Amino acid sequence: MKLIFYEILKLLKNKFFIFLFICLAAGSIISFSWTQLSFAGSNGYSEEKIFLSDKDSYNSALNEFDGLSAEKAVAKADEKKELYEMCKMIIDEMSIDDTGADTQSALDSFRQQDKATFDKAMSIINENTDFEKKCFLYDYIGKKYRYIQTYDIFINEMENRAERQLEFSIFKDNDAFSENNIKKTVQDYENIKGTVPQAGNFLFAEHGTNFFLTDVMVLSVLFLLCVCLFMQERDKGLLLLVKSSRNGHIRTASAKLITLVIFTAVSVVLFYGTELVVSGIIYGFPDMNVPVQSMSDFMDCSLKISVAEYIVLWLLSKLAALVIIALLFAAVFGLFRSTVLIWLVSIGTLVLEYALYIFIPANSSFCHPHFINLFYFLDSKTLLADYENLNFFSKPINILVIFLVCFLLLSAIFSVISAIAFSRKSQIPSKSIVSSLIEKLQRRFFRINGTVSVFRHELYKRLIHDKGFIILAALLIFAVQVSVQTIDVKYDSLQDVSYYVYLERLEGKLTDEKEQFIQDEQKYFDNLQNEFFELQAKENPSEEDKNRLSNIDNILKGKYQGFQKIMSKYEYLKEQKEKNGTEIWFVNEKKYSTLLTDRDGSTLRFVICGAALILIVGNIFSIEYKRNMKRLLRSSANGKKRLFAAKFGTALFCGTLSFLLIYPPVLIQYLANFKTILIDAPVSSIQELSACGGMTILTFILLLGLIHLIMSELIALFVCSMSELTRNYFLTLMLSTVILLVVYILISGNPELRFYTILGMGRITAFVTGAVVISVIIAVLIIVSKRRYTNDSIRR
Amino acid sequence: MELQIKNVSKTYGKTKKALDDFSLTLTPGVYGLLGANGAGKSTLMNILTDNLAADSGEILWNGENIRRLGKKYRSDIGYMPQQQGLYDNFTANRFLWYMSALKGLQKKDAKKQIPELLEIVNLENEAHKKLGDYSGGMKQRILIAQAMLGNPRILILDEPTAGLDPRERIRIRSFISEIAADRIVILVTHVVSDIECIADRVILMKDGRLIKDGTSVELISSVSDKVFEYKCSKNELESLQKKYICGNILQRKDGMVFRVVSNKCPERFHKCESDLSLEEVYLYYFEYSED
Repeated sequence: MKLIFYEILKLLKNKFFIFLFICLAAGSIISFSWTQLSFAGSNGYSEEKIFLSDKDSYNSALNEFDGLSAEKAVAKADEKKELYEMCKMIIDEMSIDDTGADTQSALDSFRQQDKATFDKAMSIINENTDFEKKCFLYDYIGKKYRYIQTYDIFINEMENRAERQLEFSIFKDNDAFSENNIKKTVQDYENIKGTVPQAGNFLFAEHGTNFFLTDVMVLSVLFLLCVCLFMQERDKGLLLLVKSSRNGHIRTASAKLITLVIFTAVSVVLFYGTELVVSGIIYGFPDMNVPVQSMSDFMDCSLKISVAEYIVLWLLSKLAALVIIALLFAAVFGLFRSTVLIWLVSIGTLVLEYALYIFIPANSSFCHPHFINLFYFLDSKTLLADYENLNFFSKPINILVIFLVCFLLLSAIFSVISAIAFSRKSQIPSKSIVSSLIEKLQRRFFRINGTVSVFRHELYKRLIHDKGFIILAALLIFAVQVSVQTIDVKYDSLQDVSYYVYLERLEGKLTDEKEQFIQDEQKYFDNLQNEFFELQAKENPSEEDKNRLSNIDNILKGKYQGFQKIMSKYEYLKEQKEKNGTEIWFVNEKKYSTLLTDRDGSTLRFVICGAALILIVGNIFSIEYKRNMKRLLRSSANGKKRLFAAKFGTALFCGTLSFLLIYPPVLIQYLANFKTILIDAPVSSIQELSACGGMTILTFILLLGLIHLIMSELIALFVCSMSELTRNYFLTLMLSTVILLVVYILISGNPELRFYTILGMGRITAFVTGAVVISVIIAVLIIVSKRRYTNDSIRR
Repeated sequence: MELQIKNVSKTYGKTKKALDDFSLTLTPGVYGLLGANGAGKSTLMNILTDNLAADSGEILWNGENIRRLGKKYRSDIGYMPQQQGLYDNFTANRFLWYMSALKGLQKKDAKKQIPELLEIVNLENEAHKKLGDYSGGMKQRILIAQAMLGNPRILILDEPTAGLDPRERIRIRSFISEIAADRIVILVTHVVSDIECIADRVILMKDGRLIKDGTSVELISSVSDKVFEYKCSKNELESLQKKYICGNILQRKDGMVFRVVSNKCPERFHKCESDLSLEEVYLYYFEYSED
């Protein structure tokens, strides 16, 4: 107990940990609140938007249905919806053509459709009401009550459905999984027979238990906890002392693990508890005693629980999933000594798990990695809301049972690995055979020689001393792999193929010959159409006519559709010529998409570049603090400003290297696949980039390259600054990862934040503003780190 | 060549005075800085190495303020810190080249000096060995070597002989004595025998102030009438230690000698005539004077 107390005390006394913990918690709450409140300003209508912008009408609309049966409520909601729809139609008609006979005839037709509704609508039409909103609201309420109606059928028909399914031969296989699963499903749903869902406002629970960014923040806290618990003694050289004491092995390891679990629980309560409270404040707390099936997402849930019980279970399952992950981190921290290895294994495991969770479909025959997955466990809402049985030797096992078993098993395994690794594994680095061999060779052949360039020494530290060359080698492999990869241009339909065949023929600048070709083709299709109509008009067509008709029909549905797309593109290009004065060029947008508009590719490159630079540059300043070198370096002539500049120069150089290994291979890949680039063609020839005006493809590629280079450099500078600000490699890795991950989530969730989208849309001001804001942030970080580095007040 | 410390004060927080109006003038020679823990030695060294700014007062190097000289001043100093971590994957050779770069040495100078220094610190055969594989003593020696790079005119050595075996200690001490002729060497150590052997002047610091300075002989003679000894048996030791706070126990052929430092001769004790060392000076100024 005493050891646990001291471990907790150490954490609480760690100001940096507390500071980061508070920052992450604040970040989580702010982002949650911001996301929820942003619904109010979103486009279109949603339940959230109506609630946040007009709470009174939302509540009064819901209250109108109190005490009504589901059937009556559905009827009433439909009636209301129709009424407001009518109002909307009348207003629309009046606003389009407010004079003349057309309006009157339209109104007459509305009256003929439904006189009663029309009269009612006319009586309220002058009220100052947003009829579209009302329409959406009553439609939504109708859906809620319709769900209640169907739920009853869904449950009561379960048995019959099962019987019907078992009649099919594919399910009727004695003791096979499908048969057992169908029978088990019926049994499991027996529990909740008679459950009557209630209509109401459940936005609190729906949103409060479904926010992924909080998971990211809590995962960061867990990693931070492991850094503080397992690395502090190692970094300060205290581990040998701790391990030489009587309780310094298993007991200390156990105390650390228990502290980790305690703080995981505290984090769950603080992060998710606060999230629920904020959600309650924003959306209001509903009646928590109603069955959880009242929320339509829980239609498949086979648990007989109320919303309140669901909230408790949700928190407990979050805790269980996070305990598994925390103990996994603890095991990794125990097993590896190298900071980079710990980071790579921890992040690598999470990325692998996430990839399995995302890419393996839930309904595939090999779906186990999707369900027995840390991210599925972490998605507690889905875990509790969905009903899933997994196939274990033909026996259907419920996912909740599997989750419980996994929790117990994995927690035990990871705890044992962590404790044994902590107590048994030597913490003293051993010398590898390779390094001994290299040393021998150096002694034999190398003379005393070297360089007096600070920059080159710093580069050596990054690439050789801290093994950054491994990361660069990995990037080089990636670069080669990208360069030699074939680009598959995929066509979705016959029309698509036809369109691109035309485009291949027409690609490049529009010449007289090409123009003639277009006209000839147009003539050809006109004739074909005429022929088609003539053949169709024949009263007794011959067999030959029928065949010809079918052939023409095929051509018109396939090739002609493609040609029509070419014609519309031609029209678009002519418009561009008039608008920008650019020449007409036909450009195959599918071919150029990898080079110019590849959203997924650019996001992937951002992630790879970020990860590489975090690993290479992350230790650039922190190494001096870890090795206690700062005073010695600062006492030398070039140890202050010049060394600081050399370190940032090194970071920039690493940024350039990463850029060269990430971006140009895409260009090489394109050239290897398609041999030429239409460098002089205006980039606006691609409709997606219409706002780029007269800019050529070459200029656009160069600009994109420049932006990628600047992005790499900014990441490098950012990580470099973080290294000085945190003065700790682990914290740099963690904070940089979290911050870049948040940026990545923002980018991947919002395509408008991409450079070419902004440029393509002509939002230069937005682009420049964004660039200025980022540059200012980085500049401030650099200035603060310079002040910190060259500051004369050193810590005692 | 003159390093002048003029009325330098430094306070940490609101009350903790690390240096209190400290003044001293240093000319070429070896200076031994002695003081108890918390006396202000580290603060003084940090100020001298341009790692820390003083709250008041100034340090003049050949008449110019070191804050104004900045880089120029730092290229004149060689600093060997205490308990220094090193880059484990650097070889000694690379580390010295790195320090040459930081010290702004020309390549030809570095090429000449590095082998010489490696030989002086007896590491010429270990030049391509990684520092992570060095023993504690070897690390001390490579740190001395880096401090000597660029022939600094001011050499600040913090516990230079800690962790060295007697042979290396003697070797390094002789080396320091040899190079001290045309430079200022400030030696901070708790190994008083080192100071006694090589320091031309000993500076005693207490509570951030200079309390005494002089040659070893002057300082020892200043306490010659303050040291008293008593021949005793092992059984008597416990009671003597309880009675007298400041004791130094020596083992002699004919039994134990219990020494005390005091202004008055205690009963049964007699004045110590020989074998006085800086240890007694240290005890007198840092332990006894508190009573």
